Amino acid sequence: MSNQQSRSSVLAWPALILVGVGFIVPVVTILVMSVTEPEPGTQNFEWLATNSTAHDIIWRTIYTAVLATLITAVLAYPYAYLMATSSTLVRSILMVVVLLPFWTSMMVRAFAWIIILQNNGLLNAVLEAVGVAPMTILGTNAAVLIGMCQILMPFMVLPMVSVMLGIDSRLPLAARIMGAPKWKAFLQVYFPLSLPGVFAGSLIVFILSLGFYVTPALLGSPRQQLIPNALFTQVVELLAWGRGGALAVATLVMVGAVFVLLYFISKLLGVKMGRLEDAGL
Amino acid sequence: MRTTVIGASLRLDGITKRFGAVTAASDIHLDVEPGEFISLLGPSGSGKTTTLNMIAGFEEPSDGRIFINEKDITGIPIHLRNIGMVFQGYALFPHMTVEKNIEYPLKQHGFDKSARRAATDDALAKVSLEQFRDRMPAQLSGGQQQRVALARAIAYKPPLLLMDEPLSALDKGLREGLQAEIRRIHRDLGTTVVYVTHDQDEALALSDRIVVFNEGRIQQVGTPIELYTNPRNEFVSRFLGESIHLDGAIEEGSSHKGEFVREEVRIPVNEDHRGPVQLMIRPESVRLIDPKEKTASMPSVEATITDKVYVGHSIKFMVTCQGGGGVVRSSAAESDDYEIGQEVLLTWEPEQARVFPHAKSIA
Repeated sequence: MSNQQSRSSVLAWPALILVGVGFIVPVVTILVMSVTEPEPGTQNFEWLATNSTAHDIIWRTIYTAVLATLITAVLAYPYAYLMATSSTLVRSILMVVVLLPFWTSMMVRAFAWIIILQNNGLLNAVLEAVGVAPMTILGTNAAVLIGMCQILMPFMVLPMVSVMLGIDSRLPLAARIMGAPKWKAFLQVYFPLSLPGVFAGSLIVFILSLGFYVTPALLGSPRQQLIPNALFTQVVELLAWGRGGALAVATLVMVGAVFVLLYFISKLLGVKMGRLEDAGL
Repeated sequence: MRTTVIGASLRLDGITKRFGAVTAASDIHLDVEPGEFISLLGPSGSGKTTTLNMIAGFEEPSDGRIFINEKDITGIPIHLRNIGMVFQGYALFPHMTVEKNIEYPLKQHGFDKSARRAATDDALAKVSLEQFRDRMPAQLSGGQQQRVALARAIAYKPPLLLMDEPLSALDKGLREGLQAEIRRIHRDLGTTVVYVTHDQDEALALSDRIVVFNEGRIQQVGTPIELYTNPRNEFVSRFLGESIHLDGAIEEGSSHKGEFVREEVRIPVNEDHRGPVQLMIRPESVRLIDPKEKTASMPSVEATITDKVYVGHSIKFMVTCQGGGGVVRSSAAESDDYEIGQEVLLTWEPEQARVFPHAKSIA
């Protein structure tokens, strides 16, 4: 029995070693640096707490991530619904459409957005043609959001579809024959049952949003930095490892806070966390 | 408490459903009386579920009209049809408690809080699930879930109740218990029930009348006894109960209206049809006799016993013969001597036999 256990635990060692060396060691190092560099103490967190630029960066990162999550959720929901309720053929086609950009490098896609969004780019040409005044989008937070949402879409769509496919298609029909109009059947039966997919997608998208570096670097402006870019500046340009560490800790805290928040929301709505597991979390 | 609702009448006037080139249900005519329990019986793909879906409004008929209480409901949206339904696999709302599930249709139909409470209590009592009102569906067994589905469908006392193979997921013992429960609830409520099943025993046990479906068409409508004793064609006779089928032909007889002719055997029948036919006799109407005891006065057909099964009070024999075969049941005392492989004679009272024009002769 114990022999068998020790033999099967051997199988997990390579992965454990990789996680230990490649993830836990650097994270702990960063955490330690945030309270030891340049000298032991809390000066890096005091900087984070008092510096207004740091505040701006943190708040901008949070609301960009929240907006990206909301926008992708709103755009992805009808798409996922269509996928889940279509025939297998249509579903496969829609799946390829979602995944196609996914197979292209983030860098290439950011440059593609530059071409579309620049001042004399495709978007402004179209706006001019329909009589709307051209506007500056490239180098703003809006451009960063557009680029991020496009990249994040599959992470929202896929968990939603996987949950929606698990919903018994006769449940809305059951609601309707019991006297509920189509919209009520959707709102009272289908939508609540699809929420675990929405939560799972939102969690993934929010966490990924906090870590975007390439997209804000190429589509945004250095004056409107997000945490990853600010972190890069601190560590690589200013060699302030401690402040970089403090920013990393702030990101970790945000992720933890969102986990806790979603857990309580889903508890409140009576959504079982087991259903989140169905969605791949 | 007996809370009788007045069952609705239902009339299907030539409804047809085509999916592309496939006709799933063809020219279905049916009149259902208020308060009647009617079963749609047939193998899968026979059109029974399509017909039910058209009554519910899940499918639009390609042709024909549907009337409830003589009101045309053909184009009316699902939620305005005032129909109750029990689904195959229950379709309980997994995110609502038993109580909320049962309250759902009551809310949609505008019952106020106290009326909802009373109706929910009543429905839960009818299926003996009072102590489960706060459970989630996933915490219940299959049989309990089915009773919740039943309670939910009857809670608002719909004049027409549709049931789509409600017991097919349950094991035999549970199924029989719930059949009794469904019969009792139907008697208590007086609601009209349209019940889809592929299980002939279930249809026989529950129904006032049975509609037999095959290949998208109604084959026959009748009471269980009518269908068993007087099937209109080979499909109905084979689908409902066991039987013996024999190929032969009807010819002009000497002293009778017609004679069933098969090799050297001539049996009088009361039948106008002439030409190739199939003769059908139910297993309990056939007697096995030893070839040595053959008498000229009794019509008889030679057959071989291929299998012998004890079923308690009787023995079931499988027999085959030239151009036919089937099942014979006879009392254990009378026929225990016959063994597998033995040659026997089959004999029957002429009035017990039914004659169907041969499928080939129809084509």
